Amino acid sequence: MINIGPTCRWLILAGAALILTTPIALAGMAVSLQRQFDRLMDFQRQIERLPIYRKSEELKKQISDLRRSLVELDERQASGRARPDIVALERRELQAKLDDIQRQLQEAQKAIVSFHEALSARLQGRFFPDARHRLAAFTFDDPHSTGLGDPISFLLSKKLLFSTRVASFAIVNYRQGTDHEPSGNLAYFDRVDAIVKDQKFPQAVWGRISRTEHGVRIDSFLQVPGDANKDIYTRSFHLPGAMGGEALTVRLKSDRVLVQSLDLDTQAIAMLRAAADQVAILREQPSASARPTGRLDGDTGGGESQVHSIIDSRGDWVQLRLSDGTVGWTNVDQFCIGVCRTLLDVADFTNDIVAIASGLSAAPVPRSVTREARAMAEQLSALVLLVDNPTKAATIAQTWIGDPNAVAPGGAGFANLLAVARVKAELVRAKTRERSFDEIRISRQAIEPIVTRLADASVADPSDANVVQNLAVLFGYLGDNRRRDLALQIAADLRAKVP
Amino acid sequence: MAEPRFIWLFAEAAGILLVTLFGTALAAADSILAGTVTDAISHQPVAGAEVRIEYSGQLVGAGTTDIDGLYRVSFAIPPAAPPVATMVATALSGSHDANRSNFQVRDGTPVETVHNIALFPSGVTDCRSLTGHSVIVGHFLPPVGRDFAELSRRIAESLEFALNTRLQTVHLTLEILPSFEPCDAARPRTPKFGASFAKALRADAFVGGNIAAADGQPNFTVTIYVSDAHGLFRDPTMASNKSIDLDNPSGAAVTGETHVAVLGSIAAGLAEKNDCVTAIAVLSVAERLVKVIPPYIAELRKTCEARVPNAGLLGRSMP
Repeated sequence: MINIGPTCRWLILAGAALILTTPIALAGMAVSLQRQFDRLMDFQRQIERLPIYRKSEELKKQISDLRRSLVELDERQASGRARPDIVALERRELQAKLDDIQRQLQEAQKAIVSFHEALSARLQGRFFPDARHRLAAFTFDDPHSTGLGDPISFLLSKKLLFSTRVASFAIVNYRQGTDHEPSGNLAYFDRVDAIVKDQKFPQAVWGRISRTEHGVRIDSFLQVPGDANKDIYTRSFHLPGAMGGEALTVRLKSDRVLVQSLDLDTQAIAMLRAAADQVAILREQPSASARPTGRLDGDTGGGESQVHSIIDSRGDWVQLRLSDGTVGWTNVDQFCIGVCRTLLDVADFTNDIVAIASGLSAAPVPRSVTREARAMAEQLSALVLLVDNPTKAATIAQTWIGDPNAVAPGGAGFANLLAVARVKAELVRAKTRERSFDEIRISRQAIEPIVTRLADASVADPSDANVVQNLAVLFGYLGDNRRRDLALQIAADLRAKVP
Repeated sequence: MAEPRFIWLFAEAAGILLVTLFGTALAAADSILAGTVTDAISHQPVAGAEVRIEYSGQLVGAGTTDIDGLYRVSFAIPPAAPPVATMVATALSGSHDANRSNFQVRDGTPVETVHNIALFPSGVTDCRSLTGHSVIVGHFLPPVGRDFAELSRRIAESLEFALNTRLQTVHLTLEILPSFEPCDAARPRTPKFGASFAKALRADAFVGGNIAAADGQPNFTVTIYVSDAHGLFRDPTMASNKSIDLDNPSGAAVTGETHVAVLGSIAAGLAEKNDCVTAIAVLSVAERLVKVIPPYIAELRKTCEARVPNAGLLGRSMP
């Protein structure tokens, strides 16, 4: 039985009414309403993923009103009371309202919130629970009181938002303010970790600032929590029934990565502060000389969060609307130049990780990022390719395991990826010969070297439970029950250790 | 071996003295406690240290160590004491912290007749590690005429700052994460004694050093040495850290070699506690900090890899 919801029933009734009244106008009118209804349905779906709760409630009300107007118009047409010129006018108005809702949806999909108090672990409800992509950008730890913790986090969060390649992206910028005062007994990292876990962020950007002989060093980290949405960072497939039918799994191994270590001299520090100050100014027009209309980093009073959304863009300039209604233009790239621009590589890299995880192609990795970070991006790219192009995934993994005496960044992650990609590639080759997938059996000669190499990697990085679990599956296929049982035991012990 | 007659006379005299002093009825039978008082770090005898014996807060005997650190104290057990009683021996020396330890007497005789006592140099006792893994940051010898108060505290903070963030990347739990304890009172005569400090203070590593001023430069060159408690390196590893602002020493200014040596010591401590899985995780952090991996790190990795349960997964599968 087909379950027809209220919206769907309304569509059928409206269509029927049109057929009875004006057969000639029917085609155009029916198509027109159908398209409008489709748009309404699409908006409804988008609202469910909207980062800002208050805005989504507002939009839901607008859609509800619009639907009522549509029904009224439809009823008047059906009764023959409506004049055609009035109907045309109302249709144009309706179209304009739909366009307006679409615009509001687009601007609400990219939102950012600064939340001054969050580092004190006074956690409230979860931010943007329905946004498709969520990221936390924390104030950088600043034990030597350089005063750069907030400006760096501010610049990165803005660059992250303005340059994102994905839709429905919510960034929560946790800032501590200038009154840096440790709260409770939690160290910086523990507080970051607590918030990331509590809010279930799939990515977090944080860092530390330390003084050097010539200025400061900024260490920026990207964190992909172990308990983050596993679908994004995990790929898994089952072996054919003839090979036992068990699953092989690959997960992104590097989950807390030093993205960049950047040294700034006193001149660069001043430039960075000035850039943060300039970016915070909202302007009437997309021009550095335009009149200021407000400030981005202004406290809303009482430590409340400040939400802002992108409503338009022109080149590098973006137009923002703040939660208090202030509208203005700003630009990160124009003001953040030189070493400050190098710092923004952290945001570019992070945006790329978010994009790759969403299935988009990888952009070139910025030159200033660390080898570990590069490895993370490539491991994620290979992970995404694993199912459809295992040979390419294996090639990427192989480039990171060139030296058998050295552990590649990310521990045994690449070795695991290589092993699983090779098994998958063998399956793809065999599939062309076998009638059914479940009848495929890869030869022992092909599997044994894969297992031997993976076992070596497991010894070099013995804490990787995925590797050991895959070994258990492959030992099982080879009929080596002693080692399969040992691998299962080790995997169980490792999983039991995870807090 | 002392003459029994001498002992009897000595004990009698002590008993009389105590009765006179404290007006307390003492048992007729006296006992003797003997042993050596040594320096906890250098293991050298401590001469002239006073050893006092108490029961329920009451002094019942006292003596002084000779040039070889030996003491021999006669004491009388109060008649009200049970057949098996716990006594307290306190050793005091001007150059060392006092040490208080218990011993048992059964039927008037110490269960263990030899009671050795180790004394920490003044101010060092409180530096003993209370956590599972720790690094003690001792005194840094300043240039002549200069004083850098609290430098060991600031170096400890900067090491913690630099290393614990990196250790977090391999998910070290809070119980395993090392603490970095400043201990300015820990002043080894030579860097070679650093390992003894580490062992005696129950730490994985001891960090110390000296400071040299460069002519006409506001900053200093700090030579940092790292000694480990587990025999990982035979001699302390030294690294010269140039241009350090001593008003604000930072982990960023400390060389990778120093960081690697500290991490190696922590890994060795984990391996000693049969946690080679975590030791390898710590080693992987150390390996990322330098371009050329030091032989002691490679060696420790090899040892640990042979000891993890995963080693049982190696070899060829038989059909």
